Amino acid sequence: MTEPLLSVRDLVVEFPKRKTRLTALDHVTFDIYPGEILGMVGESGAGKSLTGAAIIGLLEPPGHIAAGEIWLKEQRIDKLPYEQMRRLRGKRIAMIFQDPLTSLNPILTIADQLIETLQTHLPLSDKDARARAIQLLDEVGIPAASKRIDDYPHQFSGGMRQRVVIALALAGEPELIIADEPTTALDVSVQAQIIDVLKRMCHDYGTAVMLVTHDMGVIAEACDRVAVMYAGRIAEIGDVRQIVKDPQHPYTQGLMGSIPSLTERVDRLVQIPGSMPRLDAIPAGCAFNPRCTQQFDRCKQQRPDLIKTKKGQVACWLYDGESS
Amino acid sequence: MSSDLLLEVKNLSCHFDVSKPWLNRLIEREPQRFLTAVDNVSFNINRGETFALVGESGSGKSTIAKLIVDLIHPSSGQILFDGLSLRETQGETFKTLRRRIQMIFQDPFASLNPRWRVGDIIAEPIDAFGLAKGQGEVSKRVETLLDKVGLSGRDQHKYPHEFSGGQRQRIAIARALSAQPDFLVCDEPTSALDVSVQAQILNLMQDLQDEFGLTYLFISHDLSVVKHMANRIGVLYLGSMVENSESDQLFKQPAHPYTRMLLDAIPDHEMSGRRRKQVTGEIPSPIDPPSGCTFHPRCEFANTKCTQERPKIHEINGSFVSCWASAENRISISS
Amino acid sequence: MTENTPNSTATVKRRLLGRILDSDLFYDFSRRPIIILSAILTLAIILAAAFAPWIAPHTPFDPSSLNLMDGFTPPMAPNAFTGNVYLMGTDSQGRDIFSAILYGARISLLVGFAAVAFAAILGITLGLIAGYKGGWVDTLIMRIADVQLSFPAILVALLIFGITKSLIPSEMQEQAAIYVLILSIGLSDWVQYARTVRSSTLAEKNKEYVQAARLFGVSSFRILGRHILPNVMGPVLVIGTIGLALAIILESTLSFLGVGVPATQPSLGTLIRVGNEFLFSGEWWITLFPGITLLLLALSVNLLGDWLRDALNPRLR
Repeated sequence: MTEPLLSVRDLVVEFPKRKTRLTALDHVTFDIYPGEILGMVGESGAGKSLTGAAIIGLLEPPGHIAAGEIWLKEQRIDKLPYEQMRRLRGKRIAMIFQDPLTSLNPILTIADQLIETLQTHLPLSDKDARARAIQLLDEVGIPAASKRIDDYPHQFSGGMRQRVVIALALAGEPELIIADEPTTALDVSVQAQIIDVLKRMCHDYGTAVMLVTHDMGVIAEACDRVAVMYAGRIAEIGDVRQIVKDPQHPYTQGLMGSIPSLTERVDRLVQIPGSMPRLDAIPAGCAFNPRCTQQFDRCKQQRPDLIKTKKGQVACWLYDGESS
Repeated sequence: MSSDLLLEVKNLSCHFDVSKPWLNRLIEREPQRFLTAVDNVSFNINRGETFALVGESGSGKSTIAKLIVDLIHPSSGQILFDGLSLRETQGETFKTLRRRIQMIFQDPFASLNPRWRVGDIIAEPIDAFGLAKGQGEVSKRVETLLDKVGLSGRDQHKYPHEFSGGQRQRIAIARALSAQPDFLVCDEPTSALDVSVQAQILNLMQDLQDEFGLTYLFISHDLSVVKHMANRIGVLYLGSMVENSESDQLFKQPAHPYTRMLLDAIPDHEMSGRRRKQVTGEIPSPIDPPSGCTFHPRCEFANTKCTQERPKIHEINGSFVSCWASAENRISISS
Repeated sequence: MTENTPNSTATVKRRLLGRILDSDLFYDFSRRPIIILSAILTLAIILAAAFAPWIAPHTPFDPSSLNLMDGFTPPMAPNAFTGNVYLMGTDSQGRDIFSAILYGARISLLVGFAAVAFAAILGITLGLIAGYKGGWVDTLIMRIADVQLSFPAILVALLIFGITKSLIPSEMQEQAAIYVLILSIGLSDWVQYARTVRSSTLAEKNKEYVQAARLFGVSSFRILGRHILPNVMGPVLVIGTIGLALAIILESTLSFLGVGVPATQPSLGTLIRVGNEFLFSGEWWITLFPGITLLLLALSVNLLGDWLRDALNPRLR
């Protein structure tokens, strides 16, 4: 197998509170390989967005990386000084946020923003940069790109803005894009188009993507591999087909069953009892054990690490014997 | 399931004045501008069934919800509940009608007053409608309701912030039920929740429907949720109802091109290999909607008639469809 | 369910105290020495003023207890004739300054609190109505507020003071002076409350809990009082605290200008004015000590208000 592009090892992110420390990410370990789209799925508060923020160095204080390592190819990036991290952002790792309005400056035209980003990262003349900008907009599917490039963000619809954001993210030709809920704010019929653009562009440019979302539909549409997060830990990592069709972790099984089906009629949805614990009340052992129908004594006492099975990796004691 | 009529919506329209203040209009010589949120919508809901309204942003689905519970007033049209209109009844009849129609809101973080205890929140309708006498009876009722929605009686002494989103939505449901309604308008009741919690709430809503014989108007943008919940579905596009059919029929043989596009847009989260067509275009602004059929700029079947004349509603296989192409058999009905 | 029924009031109170001590607000408070100092100072001045008749060594405004021979005694020095020692000296009449300050602070704080309460009640009511009803009612109330804001508060207060005084028969003026003062300060300060409450009301009234209450046929009056009011009180608390300092200063300014409380019931401002006459003849203490008291009171209340505003604003934390 090829070398991973991004390698996250035992990442721990903590938020000090006045009496305790909240562990928001608890020994998160995963890899992203060049050109692949890795989905990060989980419910709100599971830590999926936080993982993205930690990688790109945008954790909101007082949150900080308390342990672990993040490697981008041969470079360790979790302890980089601010200035170096800033240069890395946009150039080697780019970010796409949920709300396209927050990532576009409302008082600058699209041309201003795209050309500036291009010239920050690539040695281009004004003329070449503009031509490249128009080409990028054209590629992300903005009609009449050479005219619209001089418009302001508010003159674009939500879907078109998110296309512009994708163009901006790709401008520096990064090796990795972290896309945090890129389609959540959009309507269903626009959502599908944006996923298509993201997939096509990243394939064309060979860019790897970490796609953070709560929407299993988006995951199934876009991703090659999926990491399922629960209470700040990774519950399961595997091939997208395996996660969707044949999930191993009881949590993933419940999660998949709770989505209403479009193809078959079921009278009752599978439901996981209870809700995800708050960060200050994560149970001992496996974080999922109080809600798990298959739990046994060991789950309450010992925390399972990711176990390699024939299908993928799963953090569950049920698969203890199967490691390969 | 009895099939007698409970709610009748007739030619409902609602316009909002979105013009600038009159002084600015006078100076800038601009005309008044209106946003047509709901445009001549009619549908019926039978007792005990779940009718769903689906649509994307700007389709007017939430406006219809607010019109039905009389939080806002229609520009024209009628809403009859058991033959009576909230806008035309008075006194005791009005109070009873008011009590029978309740609503569950989208955001469980905004729908509960953060300064009230849960018990007081649930008791509010009981007090307002005089449904129980004395503190003891009210408290007993609150406990029963909490129990019904899967919470415990002792939760009534807590404040909303002590609960998760799903639990708050349960409290909101208990509050709606405490008015002893027979019709519930559910405006995106699960869209603010995580999927596993969504499943809990949907199951709960089905259980309560069976137990209390409730009728639901279920509003959602999520077609898979709608398919799971509804007997009948109305599809809205820019304030108009483009298709109204039985749930199974709608998914098997969608008649309106927009319905087909919506179905094609849903991601295949089961990886079933469902065949889909590429979706294009975006929803136009409801302030200045396209002429004729509002869907024509995105429709592959549109011809000149579609760009000029508003389509009339016609019936195919029990579905009510508002489309020229379908009426003139220009599109084949296939699955 | 008996073990879960509401507990006795004692445990509820204990729990409330526990909640306060455990709150983020208290934690923030406990880590700021200047704010703690301000709170102690404010509390000390309020308590000293409230219990002035018991604390003050003299009753400064009872003419029979005054000895003219004690006049102009410097602080902490024996009087040349009587040998009496006064902590902060005496004025021309032989009045103990320390006692006069205690009684003066009493008037200042009374006027301050009453004016703030009056302004707040008026402002909150108008703000709630403007925000909830909207339309021409809103326009009317807010335009009046805008017009009033375009004049300095002291001018508005002077104007109201003048008009009200001219309406009151002269034999009652002495007694009514304090109430007139409260009214004029209150009327000059309601706009802030109205504006803040209006904008919070606008935000709250569209929240779904208010819509839900409307579905239960709850009256507008009840919705405003029971639902919206408790949710808009946070900012009012902040404005009220800062407003207290402003009201005390405004009262002192008016009294210093001679239009406030009569000299028979002097406030801190009156004391400063009276002492001011002796400043250049060397009797500095008559005006300095009331001045310092006013400064400390206004400063610490202001600091408390600023802290509250920052601590209650989640974006600044």
